Amino acid sequence: MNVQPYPRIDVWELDRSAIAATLAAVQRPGRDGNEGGVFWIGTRAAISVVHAVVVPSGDGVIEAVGFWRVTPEVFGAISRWAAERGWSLLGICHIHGEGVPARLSVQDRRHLVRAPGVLAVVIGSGGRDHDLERWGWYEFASAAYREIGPGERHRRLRLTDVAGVEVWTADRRGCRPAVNL
Amino acid sequence: MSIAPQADLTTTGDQREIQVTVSYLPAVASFHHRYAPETTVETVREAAMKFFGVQDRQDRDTYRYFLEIGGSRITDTSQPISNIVEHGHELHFHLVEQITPGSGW
Repeated sequence: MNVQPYPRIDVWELDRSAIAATLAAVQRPGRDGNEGGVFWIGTRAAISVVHAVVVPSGDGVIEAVGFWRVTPEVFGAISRWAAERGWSLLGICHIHGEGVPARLSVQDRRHLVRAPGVLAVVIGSGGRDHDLERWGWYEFASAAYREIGPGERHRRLRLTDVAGVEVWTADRRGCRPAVNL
Repeated sequence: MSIAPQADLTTTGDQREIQVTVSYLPAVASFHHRYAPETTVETVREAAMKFFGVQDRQDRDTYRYFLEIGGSRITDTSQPISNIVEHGHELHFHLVEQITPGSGW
């Protein structure tokens, strides 16, 4: 039986270790002046919980000045890995280079996954900005990404210190536990 | 008068059907449907896209969804799904999006 594919999300629960893993992962492309990013994967429900930070890297991933691209083969590898665990894509977090606003560009809005409830997060300063208040926060809703203002974000984003998070890398061949980011 | 046994075509058809599952990374639920072996990949692709609320589109770039299985994207969508089954009567695809940059890149 087919059921609703995108249940409503009221709250995203994100462990601080996921923030730390995200920042660690985007340092490498950021240092090179390139864009890069990670997928936040977990259980989707009214209270959605990020269980893993998946770092697309290597074969099938393009990190360049001004754009970051994950090929369908890598997306498929992550999809197979997540399906085995009953997890879904909850958010995509990527960096913008020095001097580029931490806001979704027109190209970001067109190219990012278009599924209701998916978060798009932009970190500025090549991934060196650790202040979540300065990151760009967006949710895909009604066929477009809309910005989540500070009030709504404080209400709907719950930071925790207890759950921990898995960190994986992904390329076109599959997903593996991250060793050294 | 005797009546020769008739083949149960309905049952035969059911036994030939292929259970298709399509997963899509952002979605919590997969698409499930049973199809006759001669059903084309395109039929499954379109049904899955409808279920997940996505569609091929074009602006400056071209966005097209594909079914992939075991790391291989199925680009020939006119072929029957029976071509893809290796063992048994089940197929598990994953829906992925290919973005082809336009000439402005």
